Amino acid sequence: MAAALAVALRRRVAPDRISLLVLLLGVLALALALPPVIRWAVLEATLPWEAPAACDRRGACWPFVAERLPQFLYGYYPAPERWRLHLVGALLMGWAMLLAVPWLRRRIFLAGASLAALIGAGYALAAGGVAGLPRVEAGLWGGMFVTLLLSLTAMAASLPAGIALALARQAKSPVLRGLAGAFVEIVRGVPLLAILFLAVVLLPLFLPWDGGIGLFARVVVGLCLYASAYMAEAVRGALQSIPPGQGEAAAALGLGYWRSMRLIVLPQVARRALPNIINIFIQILKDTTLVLIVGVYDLLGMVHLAVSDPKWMGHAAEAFAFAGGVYFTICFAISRLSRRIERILGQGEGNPA
Amino acid sequence: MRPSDRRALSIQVAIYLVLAGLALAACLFAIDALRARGIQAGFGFLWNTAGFDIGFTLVPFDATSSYGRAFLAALLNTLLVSALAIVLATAIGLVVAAMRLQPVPAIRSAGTIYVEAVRNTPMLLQLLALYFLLLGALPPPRQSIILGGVALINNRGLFLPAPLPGAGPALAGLGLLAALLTSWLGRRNGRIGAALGLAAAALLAAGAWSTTWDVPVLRGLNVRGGIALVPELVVLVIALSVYTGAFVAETFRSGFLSVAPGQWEAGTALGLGRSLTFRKVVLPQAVRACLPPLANQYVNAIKASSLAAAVGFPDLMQVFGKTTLNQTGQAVEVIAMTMAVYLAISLAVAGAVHWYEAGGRMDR
Repeated sequence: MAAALAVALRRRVAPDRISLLVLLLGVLALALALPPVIRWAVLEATLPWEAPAACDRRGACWPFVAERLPQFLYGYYPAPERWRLHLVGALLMGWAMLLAVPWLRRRIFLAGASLAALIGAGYALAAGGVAGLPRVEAGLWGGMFVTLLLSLTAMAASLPAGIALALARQAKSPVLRGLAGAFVEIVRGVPLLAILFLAVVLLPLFLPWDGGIGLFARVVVGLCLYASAYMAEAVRGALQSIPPGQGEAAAALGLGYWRSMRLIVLPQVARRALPNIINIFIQILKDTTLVLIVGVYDLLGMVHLAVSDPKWMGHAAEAFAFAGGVYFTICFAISRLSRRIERILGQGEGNPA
Repeated sequence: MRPSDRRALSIQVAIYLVLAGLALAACLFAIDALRARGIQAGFGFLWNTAGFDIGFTLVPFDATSSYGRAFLAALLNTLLVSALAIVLATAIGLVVAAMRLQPVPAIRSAGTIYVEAVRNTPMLLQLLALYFLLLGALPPPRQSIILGGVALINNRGLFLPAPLPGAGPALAGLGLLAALLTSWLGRRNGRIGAALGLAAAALLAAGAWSTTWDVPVLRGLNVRGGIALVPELVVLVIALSVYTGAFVAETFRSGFLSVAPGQWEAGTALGLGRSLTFRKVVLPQAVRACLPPLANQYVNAIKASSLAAAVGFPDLMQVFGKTTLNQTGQAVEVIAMTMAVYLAISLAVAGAVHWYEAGGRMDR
């Protein structure tokens, strides 16, 4: 019995000598690496609720993260006004839950328009200056709130812009096709950082009023340009995979260009492009961190500020571990969701020719 | 022309006129704004003295060099970082892809953990974390870590032995050339290949043996001699190759998975062994499937090397996009030049991939 179990185990775990060797090496490496990490992070660490003075060099100093947590979440947004950000978050959450209602999900324009309105309201609420709310300058915004606001804005703007660009690249007019193509290729051909510098430095030059558009708004513009180009490419890929017979059939039924797009072609495009679209969302969320280089402090930007603080020298690992955990949790969850959606969609699809 | 066509045409013309008008207006505003700041449009500034120093360059550079030379130095740094990272990332990608294709669950999951952990966190976070942790952990020059008596590590960077110019490096260069020829000609003619291979090995050995090395040594508070790699360069290359490596691994993996299992079976049925089937049947097909997405990953690595600006490594983005722009105020020219470099690389690679996919393959 035991021998049979050993053989079965051997076959499952390490079928030949080399893999057994590799396995043993791996176990050894894990056994060497894991205990110090656990000792640092938990056993010898100063726990978040203890006094920061109790921190020593042997273990992690979690009170540092606890003390900085409000900044990691809200930047320097004044504490009495933070309820506004919670309200915005709750509204967006409510919107996402409403999407579970099939009636709303089918009305994609209504859903999109309400999201756009919500994001607009979110900016207004966060900035204040309306409805008797005190103004909070964008220079005080920061942390997770900025990460989510920037990436949500770029995601929401990239969808309609990406679809429009993809359709324009297939348009009959060569000028329209050329303009859309040039935009997409240029933006995808340069680093996001170049786009951000372009938006931050050049945008004010090309506008008639002098310096009237703030740094935050310029960064938003840069991120939206970047996201739209990638989205356009994802949509175009899916658009090209739709057999031309679909559009011709729609035309034969007497549907015009816009109706055939809206009713026949784009629903199929959405289905095929969805996995790629979600990948682009993950990419946008990760790439939003680059705004710290041009002086907008998102979550990573606040972490960067915190670890550069001489008061907390030598505790960079804790802050980066915290930020890494947050990013990983969100991105990993979205990518799992994407894989599930892909499976569900794959079932509905007939034979992919 | 039908009336509906005419209407569509006139709408289009109207749209173009509006677009062109907006573009013209924006240019006029920009010219006005630049004139108000007293900035002369044009590329004349490239010949002016830069007045700043660059911490790490491949070409001689000092504060009296011109902005044009700063552009060259920064461009070479970008290319150096990208080339190093691409080589390392390919190696990492091969190993991790091989791990993820193993039947053994423990090895496979180690590969999966690496790929998921790296792909689901921002590269900038990995870069900054590595930068802070490494700089915090490295000792000052006095307590340098000495590697095998020939290399040094401290918080000023990594110091490697440098070959002194002479007959040795020349011989080794010839050896490398012979090795390249071997891989190219050897495929057609085994005998020439074998002879060339032997010659290459002999030349390389002779070159290595007769080279005199400039070994870095600790002199007081500083390190003398050798090649100095600044910590920013080391950190950037590591972070870039670890990040790109995860994507390259996925590219290799899907390339191998795209080869139908029937190909393995067919190879076995022909009496080819496992390794021969792999080399002659599976690998060529996998490479064909991998190359285009691999090229895209390499372009992504080149673009991501611009994150150098976050740790202050003097690459194109840092030296040109930041320092030069701030000093000269030639925003339009500087950003156009910076973007043009990346764009040229991207388009060149895209063109090569297109040519390859269209059937102009080298091995036909």
